[in-house]
Formats: sequence, C-alpha cells, structure tokens
Amino acid sequence: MKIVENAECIIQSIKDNGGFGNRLVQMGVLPGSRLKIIRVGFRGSTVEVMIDEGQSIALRSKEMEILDCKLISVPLSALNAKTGEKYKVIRFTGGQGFVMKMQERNINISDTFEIIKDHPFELKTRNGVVTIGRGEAEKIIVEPVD
Amino acid sequence: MLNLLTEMAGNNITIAISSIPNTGKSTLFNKLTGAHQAVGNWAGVSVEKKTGHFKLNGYDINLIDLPGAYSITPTSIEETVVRNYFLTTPPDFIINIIDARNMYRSLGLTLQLSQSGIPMIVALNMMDEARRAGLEIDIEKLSDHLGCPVIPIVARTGEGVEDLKKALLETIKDPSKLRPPNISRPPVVENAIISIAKKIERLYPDPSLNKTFIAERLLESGEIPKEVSVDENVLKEIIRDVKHLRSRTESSLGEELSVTCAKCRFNSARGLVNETTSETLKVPDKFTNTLDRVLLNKYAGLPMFFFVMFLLFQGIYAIGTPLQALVGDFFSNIQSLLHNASLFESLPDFVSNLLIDGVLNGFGIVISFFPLIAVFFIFMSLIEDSGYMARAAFLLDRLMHTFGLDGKAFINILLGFGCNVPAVMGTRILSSRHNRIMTMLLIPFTLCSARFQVFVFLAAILFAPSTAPWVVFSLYALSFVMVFVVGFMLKLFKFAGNPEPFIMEIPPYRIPTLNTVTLRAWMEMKSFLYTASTYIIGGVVLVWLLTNLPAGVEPGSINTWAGQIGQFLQPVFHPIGIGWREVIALIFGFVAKEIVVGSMAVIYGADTATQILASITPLQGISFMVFTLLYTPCIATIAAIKAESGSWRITGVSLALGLIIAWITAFIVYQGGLLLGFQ
Repeated sequence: MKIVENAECIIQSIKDNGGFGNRLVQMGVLPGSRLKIIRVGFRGSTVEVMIDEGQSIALRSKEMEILDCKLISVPLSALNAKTGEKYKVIRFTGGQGFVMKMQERNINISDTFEIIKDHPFELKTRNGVVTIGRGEAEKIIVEPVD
Repeated sequence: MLNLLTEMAGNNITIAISSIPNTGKSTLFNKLTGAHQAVGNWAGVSVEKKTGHFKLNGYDINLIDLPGAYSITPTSIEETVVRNYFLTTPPDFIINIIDARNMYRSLGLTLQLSQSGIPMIVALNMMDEARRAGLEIDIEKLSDHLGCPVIPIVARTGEGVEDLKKALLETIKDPSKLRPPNISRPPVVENAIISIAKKIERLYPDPSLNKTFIAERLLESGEIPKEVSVDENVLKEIIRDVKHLRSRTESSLGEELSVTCAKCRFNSARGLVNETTSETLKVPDKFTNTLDRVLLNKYAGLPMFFFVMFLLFQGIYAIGTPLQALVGDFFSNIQSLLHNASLFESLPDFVSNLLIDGVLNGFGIVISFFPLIAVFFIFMSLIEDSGYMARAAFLLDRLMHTFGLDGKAFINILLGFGCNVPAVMGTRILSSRHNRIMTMLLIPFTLCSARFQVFVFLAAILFAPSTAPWVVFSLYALSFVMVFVVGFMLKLFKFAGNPEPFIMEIPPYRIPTLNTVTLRAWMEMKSFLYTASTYIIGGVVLVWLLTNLPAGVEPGSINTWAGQIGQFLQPVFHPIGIGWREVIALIFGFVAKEIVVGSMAVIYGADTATQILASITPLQGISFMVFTLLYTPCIATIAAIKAESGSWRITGVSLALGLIIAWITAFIVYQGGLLLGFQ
C-alpha cells in the first residue's frame, strides 16, 4: 500500500509476520478494519495510523507494507497515474479558502475526473482541462473509480 | 464455587486487576490500595509484579496488578505472564477496566475474561473524558450484555471508586447473579473446544475455571504452562489431541484459530459498542490533535524533543545531583564524627573501621541515591503519564530501530549520562523484555556524572589546560560510539532474543495526577531500599575488606589484598598501561566512581597530583580513563540491574561485557598510541 499521509485503506487479510499480524489481531485490528495514515515520521520509517474505532497506533512502514490492504483513498499527489485512469474526489484537507479555490476551478467533492498527465497533474473534468499544482494535489483526496 | 466459599470463610480474597494498556489500571490500583503495595518481579521474567492490600467490610483483599495485556492469547511476555497467571493460580475475582472513550479497544479482553468462570466486575474508566467528548453510554445495557456489574468511574479523581467497592462487596457476597455472555463462534471451533474441555476435566480439578476457557487457551497455543503439574503421559496425550484438533480446525477455517476467535470477539465488541453508545468517537480530542501537529511535526518535532530532553536532564540532575551530594556529605560527616566517638574508640580499630567505613558507608551510598531516584521518577512519570513518552518513541524510532530498540529506550540511555542507577531502574517503563534487557546492558556505557568527576580530575593533572577539555570531550564521544557498537553487537548476537514487533498505541495527552506521580517516586525509593541495598552494602564491605586486609597493613597499599590482586593482575593490565596502584583505584571504583579520586589520594599519599604526574604518562592516563569509562559503573548500578532483570545471568553478562570491552578498547587506545609515538 502507499504510505503517505491522509491515505486510507481497508485490510483485506492479515498474515502473521513474526508475531506482527497476530498482535494486531489481538488488538482488534482485523480484516475489514479501515486504517487512515495520520502521520509519516522522520524519513518515512515510522507511521502513525488510526483505526476506524478511533485508536491511534504507531507502526513501522516495513511491517505495514506486508499488510494486505486495499487502498480506498489517497492524496492526488501520491498517485502514479496513467492517462485515462478515473478518480473521484472524496474530500479536501485544505481550509475554506482552498475549497473555494477548487470550486472556482470546477473541482467539487464527489466529482469524477480523468487523468491526462501526472506530476504536474492535468485533469479532464466535466468542464474541461484543469492543471493542479503540487501543493494543491496534496490536499485533494481521491479514490479510484473502476 | 465450593472452593470459593471455603476460601471466603477466611475472609482472605485475591482479586486481580486486568486490562489492556493505557486504561488507568495503575491509577485505579493506587486509588484502591494507597501506599500499601509492593513491587517485585514475576518469577523468571523481568516483568513488574505489583501487589497491594486493602480492607473491604472485614474482608482482607489482596490486589494483584497484572501487566497490561491486549488479550490472553499472548503475543508478548507480559501477556504470557497474564495468561499463565489465570491458568495456574486463578484469582477469586477479576476487576476489568474498560476505557470509556474507546470501548471497542478494551472489550476484546473483557469478553475473553468473561468466559473464564472467575467472577468479574467491570470499571468503566475515564468517564469524565468520554462525557467531555459528548459520548453517552448506556451503562445498564452494557452491564446487561456483559452479565456483570459495570461501574462508571474516574480513577484519576476517585469518582465512582466507592461505588466500585460497593459493587465488589455485593459480588463477593453473592456471585450467583453473574451470567457471562455467549460469544458465537463457528461450529467447528465450538466443537473442538468442547471436545478438548471434556478431555481436561481430570487435569484441572480446580472448579473455578471454566473448562472451555482452558480448552480455548490450549487450542490456540498448543501448550500448557509449565506450572501445571500433571502426569507426563496424560500431558503428552492431551497435547497430541490438541495439536491434531487444531490443525484440523485451522485447515477447515483457512486461518489460524486465534484469528478466528479474535474476529468473533471483536465482532461482538463492535455490536456491543453500537448498541450501548450514542456514537463512536472517530477522532482523538482536538487538544491532542493540535498538540501533535506541533510536537510530532516533521521538522519541528525532533528539535522540540531535544529541547524537552534538555529540560528533563537539567531538571533531574540540577535538582537531584546536589541533593545526592548533600546526603553523601552528611554521611561522611557522621562517619568522621563516629570515628572519634567514645563508643567506637573502645572497640578494636578493625571492627570500628569496618562498621563505619564499610557498613555505614554502604548505607550512606544507598540513602544518597534517594533524592536522585525520587526526582528522576517524578520527571519520568510526568513524561510518561502525560503521553509524551509515546511521542518521543515515535520520533526516535528511526534511530533506535537500527539496533532493534524503540524510541523509548533512547530516553533511558540519554538519562544514563546523568546517573546510571535511576536510568536502569527506569527501563521498566519499556514495552518489552527484549528492550528492557538491551537497554540495561547499554546504559553502563554512558558517561555518568561520577565518571565525569574522575576524568576532570585526571585530565587537569595530566594535560595542559587547553587540551584537558578536549580529552573529556573525546571521552563523551567514545561513550556515544560504544553505546552504538555494543548495541549493534547485542543485536547481531541476538543476546536479548528477537525484538517484538513494533505496534505502539499513541494515547491522547492527559494531565498527570500528583497522587500517581508522587506515589510512584515513593514506591521506587522503597523498592530500591529493599532490593538494592543489600548488594550495595555487601559490595562496599567487600571492597573495604580487600583494601584493608590483612590486619596491620597500610590501607590501600601494595600489602593489602587489593594491592596483591593488583600485582597478580599486572600481566593483564600491563598491555593497557595500567600499574598496580591504578588497579587498586579501579577496585575502589567498583563501589562508586566518585571515590576513585579519593582512593588515589590514599594510594599515592601526600601531594597526589605531583605523584600521579610522576608515575603515569598522559597515554597511560588516557588508557586508565577509557577503562574507567567502560568497565562496571558502580555497585549501585549492578544492584539495580540485578533488581530490574531479576537474573544473575544478565547481571553477570553486564559485568563481563564491561570488563572485556573496557580492556579491549583500552588496549587499542594504548597500543595504538604507542605505535603512533605517543607516550
């Protein structure tokens, strides 16, 4: 799974890797649990995640990578998207001003768009092509549309 | 039940408090027992065991504070301790604690314990915080579902603790109202459990435990705790059956049995939470969020951490060290007073000196650590109880992970640079036995303030004023490097076993209570007095005997046993440039590094500085300092390691590790220096 702040995933299955999986299970983190990455620590090795029941735990990214997770939402900036892939806007992490700015460019929550090009992002929305800056892309949380 | 009643006739009742970590277990324990508690170790493992007493309407309650455990399907040594406790010496009652802010995380254990057959009551703690967050809990319904009394409390303030006691009393008088919930499990699991439960009827004659509870423990682990005494053959037969059933069940489930059982438990837990609460808390409180945005900031987090550490270090040692010196001076004054007292003058010199310079001196050393330990644990509790410790661990995890430790260990090692003794005692806050052992083996390599005094003294004599500070600085650098090198070595040889997987809860911030903090400092002083003082006084007396016997010789001279040992060890110490006089000083150094300087005055006689300058070359001086830095810090540290680890093996390893590494490093420094043409 992508280890980047604000990404969310659902655990599909848990393998016991040196006790790691079993410990998680005994703490109530089970297949079907939703994890949200709150914070990525210094040099990305330690991660703070929140379980959907509201408990906050720290894990190591190496151990997290072996979790079989299905990504459900991720900041746009973390995507290595191919042309033609479709995504849906879930939420914004920016403040009021940012939301307004996005609205002006016709990007609203639950809008669907198609990737034209990534880094910097060019998106095809209902109302035409929009270019998104790097900082802006971090604040737009999207989910893949099949 | 019969057993229970007869036991109660004696009015002596054992109650165990068991809950998952961070639910205020220790706070409730303190509230119930006050200072009537004792700290020890669970047999064979360095896991803290706290017991306490209190009276309840004529009942004598013996309260046991079990280590925090997420489940009794163990994934750590602490959890194994808890499981074995329940299986081998089941208590008469259980008090379980649920975190009201987040019931789901606590309920897994609650449901597991409710199946044990031991009467249980539940304390719903941190009600104030739950209320503040707007959470409403239907306590009656929760109690109904769990089939046992549920008492809302705020352990920090004591709110509801009287109600808890009342409910406890009622349950003790009449446990028949309890009816544990039923957790639905897949039939294949249920059948396996029942079939094992039938087989173990004769194994566990104790009626207080549910046979299905034991059977589930056996099935998920495939082992029986060693403490259970049964016939070898019966045991083998049962283990064989258990293994067979387990593999059959697991292959039909397609996953481990412990996973299936956890799923069933937590599904029930989720249902319970939905049914009894107004809404689930989705985020920690705003306060925690805001504070974490600053304290765990990608860029500001680490500098802030080092600032907090700076304050912590200054706080502990700026207050603690002068107090320690004060108490130490007080005792040396008493010693000199007693030397002239008529009572002691009537005794033979040898006896009075042994009593005053040996026994009393040792006792003085024990007492002199008191202020330091108190201040140390007051500050440590503040850091730990406030929730910052978990943040520190998060920030430093990257660095400490390189030798298999987590960020919390960093704080202990850092505090070792002030004084090794409280730092070793502080290892008990670490999360796993592996981390505790590793950390207590590393702490002795930190340059503590006592060693600093020796280095300043020697460097000032042997080196020019412009060079001396650099010598001391290099020793600090060496100390850091050695902590890393030894850490890597221990990790490489897996001395402390395999590190446990790193899964650390990050609790919300909380204001520590005065009661918990002061009680903690008091308990630590008490346990230091009980567990460490005998070793310290014994060690001081031993060194006194070595440096004063045989009778009639000049203390500290070549004719004493220490002097003879020094000469005997000459071939060992010659390659590192250390003469017999310094070996005597090193023997004195076992007691405490502070007295190395004083002992040199005794050994070299009047005009110590000139004598030292005349008999030690600068290079030999450096080699001596390197050895002093790395070998056993002092008798008090050794005593603390013994007390914390509960193991002579670990203590012995620490001693040997220090001596061997000190010799090797001093050898490299001295011979390398000679090769480079230094003297």
